[in-house]
Amino acid sequence: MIFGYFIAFGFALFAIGAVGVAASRHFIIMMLAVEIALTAAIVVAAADFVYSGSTGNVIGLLFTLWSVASAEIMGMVAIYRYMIAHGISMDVRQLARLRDW
Amino acid sequence: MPVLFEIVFIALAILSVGGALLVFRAREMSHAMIGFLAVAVSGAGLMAVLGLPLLSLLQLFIMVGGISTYLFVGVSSENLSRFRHTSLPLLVALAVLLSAVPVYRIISIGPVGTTAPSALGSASLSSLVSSNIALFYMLAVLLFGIGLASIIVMKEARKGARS
Repeated sequence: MIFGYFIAFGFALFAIGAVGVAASRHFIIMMLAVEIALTAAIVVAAADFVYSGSTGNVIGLLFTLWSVASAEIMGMVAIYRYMIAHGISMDVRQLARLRDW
Repeated sequence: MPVLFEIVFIALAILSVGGALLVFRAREMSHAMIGFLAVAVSGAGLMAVLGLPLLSLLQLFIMVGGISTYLFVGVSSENLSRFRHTSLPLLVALAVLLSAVPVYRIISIGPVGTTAPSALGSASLSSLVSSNIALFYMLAVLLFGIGLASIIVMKEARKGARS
């Protein structure tokens, strides 16, 4: 039953992050939504490791998730600073140049 | 204590979901960052509740101390690089002094606990965090808090100067 709490919470938080990516127009908010989804994945992975009675090690998987989150943040902040320096709008709808085809 | 466990879990879950919603509802970028910070901290708390103190500390170090700090500095203060904002001699002097004090203490005392935990899930927080490591962590949390507070104060001052 307690494991069910963690699964429900994890999927709820992941859903908030995933919907946030689709619903948000701001570049940085979309990035934070992805980070929220990754945090949810980390919590679910840790809960599954504890409640499944696994004899292995979950730290490799968690380091992978942390590395993905860190790399994404580093890349996105660099792009954000470039966009700010060149006066590019943060509204992703204005960046959708595929519509002009 | 299953009831206490559920109460703590519900409190952390509310903090996490509230922080996630704050990310999307906040008008200020720094407030959205604080919302994400709440999500990361509650994730670390949930891992501590699961009985994984090392992973909880790693979550704090990486998501809060690393990613959130980088986000605050890189996003919330985009004008920071347009002036000489750091005194290099002062930075080097303070870093040497701040690292020399706990390192001297560690060297003078000798090696701390030698018992290594056999599995991550069975380690207790007291066995993993000795008094010396706790000092480092306390200093890191204090510095993070100072950095965060200074960015917020700077933003408020800039807002006051504009109005």
